[in-house]
Amino acid sequence: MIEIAQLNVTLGKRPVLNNVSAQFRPGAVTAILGPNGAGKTTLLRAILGLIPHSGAITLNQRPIAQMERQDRARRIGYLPQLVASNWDMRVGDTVMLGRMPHRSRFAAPTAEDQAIVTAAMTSTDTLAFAERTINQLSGGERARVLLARVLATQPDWLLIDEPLNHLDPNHQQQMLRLMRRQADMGMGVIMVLHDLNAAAHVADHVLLLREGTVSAEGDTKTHLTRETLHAAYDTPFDVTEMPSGRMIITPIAD
Amino acid sequence: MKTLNLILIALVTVLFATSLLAGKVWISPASWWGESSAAWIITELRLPRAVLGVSVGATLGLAGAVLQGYLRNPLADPSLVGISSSAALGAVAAIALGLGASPTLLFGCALAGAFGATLLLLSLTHLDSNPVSFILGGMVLSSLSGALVAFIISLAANPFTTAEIVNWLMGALTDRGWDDVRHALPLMGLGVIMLALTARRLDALSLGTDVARSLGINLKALQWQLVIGLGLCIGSTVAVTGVVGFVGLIVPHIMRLLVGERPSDLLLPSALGGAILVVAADTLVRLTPGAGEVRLGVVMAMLGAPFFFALMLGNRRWQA
Repeated sequence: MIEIAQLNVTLGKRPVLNNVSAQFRPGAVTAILGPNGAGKTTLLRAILGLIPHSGAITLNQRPIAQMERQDRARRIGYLPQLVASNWDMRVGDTVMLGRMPHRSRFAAPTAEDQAIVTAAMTSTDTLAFAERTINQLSGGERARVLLARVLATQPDWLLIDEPLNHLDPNHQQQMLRLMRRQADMGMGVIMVLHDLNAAAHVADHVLLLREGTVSAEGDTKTHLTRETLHAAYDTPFDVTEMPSGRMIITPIAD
Repeated sequence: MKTLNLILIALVTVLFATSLLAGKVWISPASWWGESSAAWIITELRLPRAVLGVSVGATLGLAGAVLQGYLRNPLADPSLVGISSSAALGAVAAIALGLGASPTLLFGCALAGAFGATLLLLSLTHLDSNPVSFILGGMVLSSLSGALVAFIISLAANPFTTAEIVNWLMGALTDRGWDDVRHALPLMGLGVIMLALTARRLDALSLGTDVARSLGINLKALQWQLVIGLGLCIGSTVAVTGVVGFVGLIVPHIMRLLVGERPSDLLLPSALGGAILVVAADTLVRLTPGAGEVRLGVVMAMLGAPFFFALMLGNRRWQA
């Protein structure tokens, strides 16, 4: 379990996260929601130890900051919002970067590394691009390749920022199913999302942030409500449960 | 890629042999051994010069590829961003103070200049990751070093010192001997090893610093390794040849067309390509008509400047 207690993050002179406490369970999908500037990405980066912070962040009661780098990299995979690759590398080589935490610095990839990379590319529907270079792909294809890169690490935890951006509806659904499947297999998935319906559909838990503080946290069904959404986003929402049990969330125009 | 490396190694070997043959006097292989003056020219003049040509070229080619990989900026080159000119400033200060005769002090001052400039520039990337800012910062550093060199020249004690500095600044392998090889090669070798060991981590950086750190890369350790590696490489090459610019810009670009853009794939071909470029250029400058030689640094600048402009016009990706 990843536990955060009284987390504070200040970037420059601006406090971005104030006294945030939360718990993330393995084998579950947690959606971090909130308006722009609420501190969602900052929270992911703090969990990874990428930015200075105060407060406690632990993985199985061990402070993440004190974990050995390689060990942390093997356990926690991170997929930031779509970044342009600075070099136009081969797709297969890009996905192989995900095996880096498992390989010694000078060892060539083993047959097992190659098999894991192939499996990650198959699951993200990117195997056909293996010989192309990153810049030859569309935004959506690139997003899936970068997801394959993080899956190739086979982490216990997956921290993923806005994974649905740049994806068409078909691949959005595929991405959500993939996240669900990873969680069902025991991985802890923590996703920053803007799409509330996707969050309602896939997440077991939600964490709503507003101006750097937790405005609601808990089980999706009970905590993704008109009231919590209104409080977080400062705008009214209609939340309807369909006969199938699926929730439909719609912002209400004034 | 293995085939390409083998071809490049073959080319280095052929050019190395040609550089022994070629000069104001052509010396056939039959005369390379024995007690003749031709054999002396080979063993005491051309051989150390060719050895330095290969090692300086390989060092500069590798340094360029590593710097570009680390900064994720195809326009980064040690000479362009002021590392070479800062090393030159250190060496010029040593010459002006009359310390130029001591190789230890000359190398020490050049290394100090290169270390300082690399540290300053890499620190700048932490404050502002924009590649354009980095290049501009490097150009400011280059101008400042150039101005300080001019200042030192203007204060030089006598015209001989001035001539020595100006001559040295132009960059050349002329009249270099085994003493130069003995001083420069261990430092270059150490720097090359340090830079070569960054290969895998440069690949991880291609997806940005956050992803690299999430993959377990210790960026601070990497940065220090680069500062020391580049300092050793550039400081020692500048101390032994003066400023030979643009090798680190031209060669990785050409190699990228042949092996693709993965930074680790570029390092060995760039080192071999650098050796080819410098040995070939040094052989050609020896063949220029007249009593003197065109300086190697001048030839490289004449090749490199148009190449840089062509890159600027042709490749706008870095401006994004």
